Amino acid sequence: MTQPLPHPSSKIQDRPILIELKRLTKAYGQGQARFQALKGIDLTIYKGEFVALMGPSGSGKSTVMNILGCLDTLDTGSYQFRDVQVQTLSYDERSLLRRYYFGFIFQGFNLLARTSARENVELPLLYRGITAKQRHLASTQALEQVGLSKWAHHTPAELSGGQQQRVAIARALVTKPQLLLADEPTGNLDTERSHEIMQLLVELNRQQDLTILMVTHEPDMAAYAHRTIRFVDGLVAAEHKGGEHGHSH
Amino acid sequence: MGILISSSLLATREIFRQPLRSALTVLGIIIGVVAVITMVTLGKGSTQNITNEIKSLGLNTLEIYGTTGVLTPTDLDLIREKIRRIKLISPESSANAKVIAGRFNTKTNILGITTAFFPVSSFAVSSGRTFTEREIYTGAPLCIIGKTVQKKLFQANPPIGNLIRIDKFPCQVIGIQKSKKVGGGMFDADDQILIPLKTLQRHISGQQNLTQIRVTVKSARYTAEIKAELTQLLRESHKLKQGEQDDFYINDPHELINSFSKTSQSLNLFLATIGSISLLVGGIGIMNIMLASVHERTREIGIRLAIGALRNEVLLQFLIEAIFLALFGGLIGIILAIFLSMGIGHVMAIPYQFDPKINLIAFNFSALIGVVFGYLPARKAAQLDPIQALRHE
Ligand SMILES: Nc1ncnc2c1ncn2[C@@H]1O[C@H](COP(=O)(O)OP(=O)(O)OP(=O)(O)O)[C@@H](O)[C@H]1O
Ligand SMILES: [Mg+2]
Repeated sequence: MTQPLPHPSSKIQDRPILIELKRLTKAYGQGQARFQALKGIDLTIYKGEFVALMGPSGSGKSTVMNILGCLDTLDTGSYQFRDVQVQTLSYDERSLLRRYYFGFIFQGFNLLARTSARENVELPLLYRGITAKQRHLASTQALEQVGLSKWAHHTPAELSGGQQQRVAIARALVTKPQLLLADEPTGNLDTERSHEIMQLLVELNRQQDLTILMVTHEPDMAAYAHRTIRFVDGLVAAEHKGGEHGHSH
Repeated sequence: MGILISSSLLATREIFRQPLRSALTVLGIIIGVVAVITMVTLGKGSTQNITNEIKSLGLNTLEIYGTTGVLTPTDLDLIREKIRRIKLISPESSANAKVIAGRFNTKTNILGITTAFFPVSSFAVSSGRTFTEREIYTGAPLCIIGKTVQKKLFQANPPIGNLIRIDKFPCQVIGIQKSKKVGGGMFDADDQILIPLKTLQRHISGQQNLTQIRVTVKSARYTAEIKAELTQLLRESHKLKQGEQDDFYINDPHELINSFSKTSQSLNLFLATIGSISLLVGGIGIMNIMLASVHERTREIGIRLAIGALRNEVLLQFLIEAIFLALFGGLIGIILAIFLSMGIGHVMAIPYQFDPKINLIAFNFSALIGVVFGYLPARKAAQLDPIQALRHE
């Protein structure tokens, strides 16, 4: 993965493949209650891509995100991340994949309450065995990147929704992940805050060549992505360049 | 490493966020630790008191006295003749008698003794003198009185040189026994009169038998052997058949100390049981609060798992919390126990001595309680499904 990457403006398909899903299926429940959430997903994500997932409620977007993030396991099919067949990994190996390669942003922010912004950002570094001094350095940098330098000592309860999501982004960034998984990151924010968050994501994608996979219901947000994948009933229904309406940033 | 430190910090923060709640949670541990440490410390102090008392009587002195039989002058002669490795033999005979001095009188114990009595009992007079060899031998009409007797018969007047009547037999007071009163005893060692053995036998009791023979052995190492020899000799002298019970008893202070420390051991065992039950209750308290904490912090656990915490790391985090909580209780208990032991020790005249061993045991045991009762909640936390945990409200 150390090979030099082409300039972001070069054609995506010329870049290395980061993720490849083949005929991925996932069912929940047993017997009568059994529900086939994913019915055979084929999906390829290239390194440095910013991809939006859209689709009606219950179409399997979160399910596929959870499987990609190794928070859940697939039933059949295959999931290749770089050169690893993820479905063959153990629970702890998948935890380590999350620790070293993935960053998460959730709709509900999911910050530790009663804990300062800085401590929240430093949390993933703790599990990497990084020294306190370097943690401080890295968290300072990450908070600066999301524009929250002045808020390092505030707890989530003292921050607005947008600020909380920025802390969450800083927490995801601080480990310099290869893949950022964001499930409806702007779902709890107003339009203005949403656009600010999207601009931040675009910036990260451009400047750090961070691969981003984002679920959203809002075409305006999907428009920030390089391409949009539409899910319907556990299947990929369509792909567009840029947002739903086809325009690109 | 970073995880260990951060878990410890987090645990400490959680405990002190609600110190009262934490203290109540570990109340069982506090009570258990206080109970065990206080009782063991005080028990040790009083054991020390009693052992010292026994030791002051002389560790290499055997006491022989009749139970169903009597000790005769023949027994005494046989012991003198046959038993080697003996330093001193103190034959003693006692009788109760009415004593009169001027217009005062009292009833007290008259103890007939020989010169050996003084070294065997580490006896001393506070004023006057003791008997000479010759006075003992001839059975002189002299006596040494105890403090209690002195008070009853002479009040504040100087008694030495005065005559007293012991069952009408006149004796001159030549000395006053140095007070041997030890705290709390029921037996008053100062309420007695010492006279030469021969004097007692001739003029007061009118018989030759001995109440007690005390034997000082050359070295405390031999006491058990010599006790066996004495038993053999006295059984023969008393013509006891095989299978017949001894009609005398030989008291070895070592046995006394041993039996005493055995009693205090079983007492300690009893205390340890009570303490363990309290600690068990404390442990259940910890388990309860930890289960609640895991439930309360489900989302936090989900976040940690999502960012790549291993199950073992989550387990460790909650285990550390439980251990810290238990140690918090243990520490409070230790501090309270120190004050309590000092206070009770002061009131009961038991010397307080900090016992590092029992404190260390209590501390480690608290940690163990934390591990044992924290394991289940910690495992529950570690087994949570990250997606479910993240969705938890
Ligand atoms: N743990 C689960 N147990 C049972 N069914 C589940 C579970 N998780 C998801 N499902 C079902 O799988 C289907 C897909 O769910 P998923 O969360 O992936 O939808 P989604 O596309 O993210 O929808 P939304 O836009 O509402 O978030 C839904 O019908 C849902 O009810
Ligand atoms: Mg969803």
